[in-house]
Amino acid sequence: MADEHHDPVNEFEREPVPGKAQLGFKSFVGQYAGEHTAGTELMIGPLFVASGVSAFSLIFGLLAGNLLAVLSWRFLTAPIATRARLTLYYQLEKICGRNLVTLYNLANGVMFCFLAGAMVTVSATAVGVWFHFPMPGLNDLYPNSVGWVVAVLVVGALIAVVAAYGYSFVARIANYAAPWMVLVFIAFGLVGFKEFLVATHTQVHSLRDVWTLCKTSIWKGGAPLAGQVKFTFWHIMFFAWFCNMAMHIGMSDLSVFRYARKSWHAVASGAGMYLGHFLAWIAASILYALQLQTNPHNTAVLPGPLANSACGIAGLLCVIVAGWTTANPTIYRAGLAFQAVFPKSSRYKVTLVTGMIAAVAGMFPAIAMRLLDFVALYGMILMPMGAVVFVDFWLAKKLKFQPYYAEHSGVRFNWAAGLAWLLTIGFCLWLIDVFGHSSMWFVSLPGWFVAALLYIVLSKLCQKKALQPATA
Amino acid sequence: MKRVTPIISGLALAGTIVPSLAYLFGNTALEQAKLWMLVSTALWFISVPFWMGREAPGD
Repeated sequence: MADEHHDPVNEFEREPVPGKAQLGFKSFVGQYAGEHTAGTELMIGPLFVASGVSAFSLIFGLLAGNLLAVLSWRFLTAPIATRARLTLYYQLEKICGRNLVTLYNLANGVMFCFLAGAMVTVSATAVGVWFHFPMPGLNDLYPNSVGWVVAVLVVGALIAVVAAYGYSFVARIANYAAPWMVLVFIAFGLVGFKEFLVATHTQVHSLRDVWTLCKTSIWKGGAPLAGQVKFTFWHIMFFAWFCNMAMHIGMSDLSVFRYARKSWHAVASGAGMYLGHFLAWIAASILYALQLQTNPHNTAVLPGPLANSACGIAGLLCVIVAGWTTANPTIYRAGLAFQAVFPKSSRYKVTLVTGMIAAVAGMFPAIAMRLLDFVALYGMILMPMGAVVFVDFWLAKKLKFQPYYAEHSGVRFNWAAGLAWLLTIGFCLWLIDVFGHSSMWFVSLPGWFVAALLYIVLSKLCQKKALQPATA
Repeated sequence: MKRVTPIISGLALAGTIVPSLAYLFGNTALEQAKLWMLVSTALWFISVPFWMGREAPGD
C-alpha cells in the first residue's frame, strides 16, 4: 500500500518546481522503500493465503505485477511530472476547474479516511495481544467486543491528535523506523519459514526443497477460505499492479516526481514494490499460512498476534509503528483534502475530526478484512482522473482540443472531465455487476481506456459547443 | 558522538535481522532471537536520532 512517510512539503503548490529544488535518484529510493512497507502489508499477505493462492501464482504474479507498477510510474506518471512539474491538484484544477477538483478532493479524502481506518485496525490488533480482549474474525463486518471498540477508539484518537498537532514528530519517527521495519518484516518471513520446517518435520537441502515446501505446505492453492474470492496468477498480478493505481496511473504521484531531475528516477519506486509489496507480503503470508497449518480453524487475520508469535515484542512494536506512522500522514492528507472542501475551517480541527472518522471506520473490521476489495475500489475510483490528465497532456493538442481547458475558459466545472470520471466509475461497476465479484481487480484496465475515450469525445463536444456563440 | 552513533545503529540493524537468520539455521532458540531483536530495536531507536535527519521530497 502507498502511504506517505514524508513530511508533505507545502512548497511550489501553484508553480512548477524550480531546478534548485529538484532531487536525485537516491531521494526517491528511500522514500518509496519506506512508504510501501506499511501496516497494511501485514493484512494483504495473509489475505492472499486466505484466497487460496498457489506458490507459482504468488511469486510470479507479484514479480510481474510489481514490474508493471514500476513501469506505470516510469512511463505514465514521471514523464508528465518532470515536464509540467506541478502537483496533481493544481494540474487538475487547470483541466477540471475549481468545483470539480473539490469533488475529487472529497472522494480522495473519504478514501484516505477508510485507508487510515484499516491502519488503525492493524495497530489495534497489537494492543489486543497485551489486553487479551476478543478480536474480529476473517468474515466479521462489525466490532465483536467492547475491548476491541475501546482499543480502536483509543489508538485512533491518539493517532488523530498526533496527526493534528504533532505531524512532523511522527514523520521523523517514520523516517527513523523505515529501515528497521523492513528488516523486521524480513525477520517475520525467516522465522515463519523455520517454524514451517519444524511444524511439517521437513528438512531442506536445496532451493528445489524450498520450492517444494512452498508449493505443498505454505501456498498450497486450492479452494479459498469461506467468504473469500479465489485468487489466481492474474488476480495477484493485477492486484500488485493496481493496488497503487491512484498513485501511478491515477497520477497522484505527479506531486512527488515533479521534484525528480529525470523521469527515469521513477524506477526508484521498485524499491518500494520489491521490499514492501514483494518481501513484506510474502513474509506476512508465511506467518498466516503457519497459523492455518498449526490450527486450521483459526482463520482470523490479526497482524498483532502473528507478529508476536514470530518476533515477540519487537514484532508487536513493528505492527504499532507501521500502522501509526502510515495512518498519521494518511489522516493528515485526508484532512487536507477535506479542508479544500471546507476552506474556512481550521486545518487542526479538520484533521482531528478526520482522524476520529478514521477511528470509527477502524472499529469495523470489514474494511481491513476486505482490504483486497477496498484497494481495488480505491484505485478504480481515482484512476479516471489519471486518464484525463494523460490525455490532456499528450493528446489534446494533437486531437485539436484545448488542454488546460478550465484555466483557458474560466469554467469551474469541466463537464467533459467530470462526466468522463463518473461515467467510467459507472462502467467499471457495471462490469463488476456483469462479470461478478472476482472481476473487480481487472475492470480498471478497460476503465482507463474508456475514461480516455470519453474525455476526448466529451471535450470535443463541450468545447465545440462552448465556442459556437463566439464563432456564430 | 555523531561518528559513533551510525556505527551503533548499523550494529542494531544487524542485530534486528541476524537473530532470525541464526534461528533459521538452528543456531539459536526462538525466545533468544526475540530478546536480541528487542534489544537491537531499542538500540536502533536510541541511536538513530543522533545522525539521521535527511529531508524527503513530497507534495
